[in-house]
Amino acid sequence: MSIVIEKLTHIYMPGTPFETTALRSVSLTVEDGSFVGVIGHTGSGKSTLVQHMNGLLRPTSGRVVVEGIDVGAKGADLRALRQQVGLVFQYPEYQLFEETVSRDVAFGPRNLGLSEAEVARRVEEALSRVGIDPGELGARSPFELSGGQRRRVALAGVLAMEPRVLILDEPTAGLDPEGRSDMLRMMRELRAREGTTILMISHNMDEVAQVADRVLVMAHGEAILYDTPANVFADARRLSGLGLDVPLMARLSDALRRRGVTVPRGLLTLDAMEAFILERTGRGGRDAG
Amino acid sequence: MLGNITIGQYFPGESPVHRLDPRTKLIITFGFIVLVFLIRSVAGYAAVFLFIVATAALSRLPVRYLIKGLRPLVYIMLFTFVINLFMTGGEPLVISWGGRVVPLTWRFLHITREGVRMSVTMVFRLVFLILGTQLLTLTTSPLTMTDAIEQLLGPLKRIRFPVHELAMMMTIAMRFIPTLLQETDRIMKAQMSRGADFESGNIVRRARNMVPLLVPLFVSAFRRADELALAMESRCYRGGQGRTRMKILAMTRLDLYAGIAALLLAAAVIADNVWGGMLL
Repeated sequence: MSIVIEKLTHIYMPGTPFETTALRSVSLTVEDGSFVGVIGHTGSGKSTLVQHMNGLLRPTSGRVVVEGIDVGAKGADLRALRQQVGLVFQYPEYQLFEETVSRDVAFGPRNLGLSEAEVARRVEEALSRVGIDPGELGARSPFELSGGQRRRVALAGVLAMEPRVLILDEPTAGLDPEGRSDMLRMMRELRAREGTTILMISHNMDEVAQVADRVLVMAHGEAILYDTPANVFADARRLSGLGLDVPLMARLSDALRRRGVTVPRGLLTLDAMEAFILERTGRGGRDAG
Repeated sequence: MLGNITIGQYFPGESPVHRLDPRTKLIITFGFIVLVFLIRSVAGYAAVFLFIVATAALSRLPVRYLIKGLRPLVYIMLFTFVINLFMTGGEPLVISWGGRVVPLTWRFLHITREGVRMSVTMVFRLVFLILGTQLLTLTTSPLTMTDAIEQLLGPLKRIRFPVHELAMMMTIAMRFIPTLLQETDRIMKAQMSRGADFESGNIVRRARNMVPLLVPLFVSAFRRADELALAMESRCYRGGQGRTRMKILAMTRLDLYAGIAALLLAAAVIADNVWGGMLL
């Protein structure tokens, strides 16, 4: 159960003056249960890549095999694929349409042809998972909710499909700091409890460093780097050449190194940095690592 | 999915035809439409055809793009041809068949000399009309076209016709077509990710399946309209009064040449009509 992509090329509007090559011979494998952060400049092909993973786009050439389903094959079971792979688009709150929150979340499970009891169970579970009380807000119109709440409802709408793979396109964009950390926490919990494979497109390197165990760097339609966060963010110069940042803590590590402090590699989050500094200054307990 | 739709079929380029002032192109196209209906002789058709070929060659558009524009209208052309062929009055044509002379008539259907001539000329007129207007839309971006329309309709402002407002609305509408298409594409994909099906079922079912697409689309169209109105007001937009433009349309030598060419064509066709036969 994994995602295997071989030499995937995608060309938009071939044969017209608007022809653009969005992906060039991209190959990668996403292991089951991993958390991949996808980073890259606007127009680098991130969104095009992930849309292949649930069959919304078909390869111009190359192969995409998700959970054993060949996406490019004629007669591929796209419905089964889309149940396995949930895709949360940018600003998903703008896709809500139903009269009540519960009915909107039920849209996906209903399309799967599940029984009413099962649909109800999934709606309840998905809503509580994203921190929305089904009893309190379930009967309200989604258009009465705040932007942050609407985004959670939209996320619940995808979670109710109970996908094995969850892909999120900039899930934290436009959220306040609390909303951001809530969103990241939800993703981590989901992965811990269900073993869901998660791909997250993000422009925020600190978030990627916090949650991802693999980082995919896209540029000009190519997969440039696909490695652990420690290795990817070790090369700040290369990333900035691609118009990308490194996490704040990676910059701090660099600054410390320049002043002669020996800093281990891969200190990318605030927690790890805090523990390191406490240990260095002799104030930390043995538990800090 | 929807990415394959091109708006207003504008085909970007840098050719002399692209660079012509849109006002020149609009006026010439209107004149051309009138002219096509004035032609009476084969020589006239040849002249107009030459004009089209020359313009098409100058525009450097791929020929298959021009041909493609004719395709949706093939049935209308066929229909026009058949109706004119059988329904035009006159003396029926005769053919000799097995040693006998048979008039080509059956009940109310008859093929006449006038009918043949009429049906052929009508098809030629249609083809020329389509090719001519297509050369305009393929080489002129929708936005410059609105600009040109606003300026050409300028005199109507005197009778308090809201020319500017109309043009602004057209501009905004056109500006938002790609945005809304993109939005449609995204919402469609998002709902498809949740198992929505936009492609199968009967008409009623399909219409019902559109709800998850149309509701968010309407909501977002209104939201965008609201935001745009706010943005325009906060930059003191108050309609056309005293408004200047950033890109001022300017005629060049090229427009002069195009105008002369068009006038020559018109003169030739009219002269041919008046002193018919003298030119041939």
